[in-house]
Amino acid sequence: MVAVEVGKGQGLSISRLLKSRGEIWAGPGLLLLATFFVWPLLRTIWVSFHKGSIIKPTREFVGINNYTDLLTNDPSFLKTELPPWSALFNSGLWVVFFTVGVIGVGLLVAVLGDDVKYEKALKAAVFLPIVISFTAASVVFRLVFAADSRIGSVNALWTTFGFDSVAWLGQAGTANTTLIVAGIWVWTSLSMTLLSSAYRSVPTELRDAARVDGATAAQTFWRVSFPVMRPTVVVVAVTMIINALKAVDLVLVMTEGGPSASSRIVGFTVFWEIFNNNRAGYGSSAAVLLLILVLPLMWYQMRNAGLDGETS
Amino acid sequence: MKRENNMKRLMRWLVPLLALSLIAAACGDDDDSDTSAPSEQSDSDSSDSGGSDGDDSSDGESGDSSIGGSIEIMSNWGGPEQVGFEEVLAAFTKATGIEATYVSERDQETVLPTRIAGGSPPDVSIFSRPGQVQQFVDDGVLVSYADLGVDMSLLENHYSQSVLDLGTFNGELYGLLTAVNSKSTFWYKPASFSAQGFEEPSTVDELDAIIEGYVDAGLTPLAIGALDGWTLTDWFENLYVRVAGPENYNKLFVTHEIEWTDPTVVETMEIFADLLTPVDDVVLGGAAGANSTAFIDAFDQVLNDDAEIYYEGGFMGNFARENFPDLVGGEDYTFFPFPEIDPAFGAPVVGGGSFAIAFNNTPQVKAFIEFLASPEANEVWATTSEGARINPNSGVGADLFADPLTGLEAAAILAADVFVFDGSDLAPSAVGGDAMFTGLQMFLENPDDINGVLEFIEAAADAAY
Repeated sequence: MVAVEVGKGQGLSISRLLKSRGEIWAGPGLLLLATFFVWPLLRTIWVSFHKGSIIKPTREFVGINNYTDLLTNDPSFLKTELPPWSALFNSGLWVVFFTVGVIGVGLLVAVLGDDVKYEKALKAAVFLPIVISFTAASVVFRLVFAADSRIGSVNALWTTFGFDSVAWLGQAGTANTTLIVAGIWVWTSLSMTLLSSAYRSVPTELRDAARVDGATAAQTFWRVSFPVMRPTVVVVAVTMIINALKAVDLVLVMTEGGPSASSRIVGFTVFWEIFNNNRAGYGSSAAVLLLILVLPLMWYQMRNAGLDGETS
Repeated sequence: MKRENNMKRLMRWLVPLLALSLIAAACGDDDDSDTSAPSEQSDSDSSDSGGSDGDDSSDGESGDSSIGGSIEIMSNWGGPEQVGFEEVLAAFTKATGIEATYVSERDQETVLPTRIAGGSPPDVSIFSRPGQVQQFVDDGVLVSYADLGVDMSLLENHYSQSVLDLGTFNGELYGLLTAVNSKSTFWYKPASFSAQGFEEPSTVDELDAIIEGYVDAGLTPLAIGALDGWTLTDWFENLYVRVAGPENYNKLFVTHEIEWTDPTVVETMEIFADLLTPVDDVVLGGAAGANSTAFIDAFDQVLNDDAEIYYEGGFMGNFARENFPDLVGGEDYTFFPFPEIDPAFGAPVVGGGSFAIAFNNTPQVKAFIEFLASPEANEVWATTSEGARINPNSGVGADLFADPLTGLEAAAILAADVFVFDGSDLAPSAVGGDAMFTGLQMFLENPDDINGVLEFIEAAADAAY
């Protein structure tokens, strides 16, 4: 009798514990998170204070040397020793032009392509790039921008207008911009899809009412539809900024960061220093700087999505 | 209520189980460190059967035919080269009974360190960057040939001391140089040469005259695939070893006793600039065209008659065969050796190759290295159905090769007085795989600013050695 009661009491206390301490249920999830996110993050920060190879990343503790080297000595990270711009500045150009381009083209297709005769075909065509691996897309774009107008379709078009063909990827002045254009093409698919569904979610009565009140098409869009779509636009913008900062694949395949390191961006530097130059600590310090750049954006996005615990 | 209790009872078991499985998964990697255990067992097997099977001992060169077990070998060969190497492995399995698995990893320089760091390297890698092999040695992840117990007399009988020296790190032999190629080859079209009345040049001055002759005739003499920065470093290495000699070559690339701003380097760059300027006339597409062209595409440009001469290694013949099946190698296109500059240094061969390095100390690995060094293996490798490779093994003659161009290349390598390894592969990656690429692309854009380029490379070298 007593034993039964004890057993019962234990069962109850465990169930009570599980009920009162909901965190326990998050345990397995937290364990996964700690293993695959928190530990690598802390490890990267730790490695960034060391000098070493991929195999022995923490061979020698060097304090903040990697950071000072990166910011003051590296010929292509912050300084503009290699014209025209440094990796950090190139990343800035990506953040501005890539993000504006992806959202701009995405909005254009989403809004102007809505309810037109060939809407499905048009949107399918714009959506298509998302199913192509970025590496494959990069190889294709290297050919599209080839200097030889018999190979590169851009130069084929360019020369029919009477211009001389241009080595878009071979000149320090144009390589980074060309990569941004390719990046816009690759990512517009996602942005168009999200913006299109946001546009669809604007109640038609709102637009109809605005039209009845005499608003022009432009006014209807900017005053009525856009404010409803705004949260989606913000999410797309933040996602694209993060994409711009960490982009590696396009740069690696299309230019290898060249010519003369003119098309390096921060994400590429992280990869290149660790895996090409076998400097784990140095590359990690670039990764940590990248994280610091991305952090405010992530925080903003989480706040925007109401994930920080406060109601938005 | 009862069902809820059942649920809780279930959870009471499930949660710890889940946690346990996670922990088990995290520890899973450790199994790999035990790979030597089964092979040790097979070792004892082989010594058992070796007793009953005594006749094998007479044929000591390619190892004990009854070892059994398996071995994993990684390299960056794919396509025809993979087919050829797998034929070599089939011969190995036939001779030793050891199962050999080949892992083709095009991006081996990146993947291998990751596998080492993860605790599961392949048994053997055939690896092309000695600079990185040095780092593996320093990191203590390689097994030396002495520790493997490789029969040194076998190596000494079939390889020159200079070849063994290239595989020696910190005073110990860690890698056998295999699958070498010459990077001292200028590809040209004999018909184009004879149309202009040119002959194969034997000095760089004569080469310069040919380049100018083509420009005067309204043709573009050179194509360069400088998107791949190493094509430019290969140019530089050939010029430098001819200007300054092999000793200085090592001091520049291996030890950095010579700085990049040294007069010998400046002189080399001036010769380089003489050959290439005016860049817009001499190089197809000018600097920008070259800097956006990959190395295979540049040779295609020559074979498409957009340019006349292409400098890159002997291996370009494979790409020409593949991309231009209608052209005949040795007739429509062929190569002449990189010409001399200073008679004192002649025409050394700058070349590449891959070192067979060992990560695990097993009898199978020892047997594989010994097989790889045997004349039999190298004969198989020279006569494979495709992807035949040249090896600096004294048992292999240049006449073995079915393809005349490969035979020509083999003859050049086997006859060379001096064989120096690709310098950018000898230097730390931050210099040989980064700063040199960037610097020489800058040089192509602006050949007048030699000092600026050299100071740029020297700054990187100063930090890297």
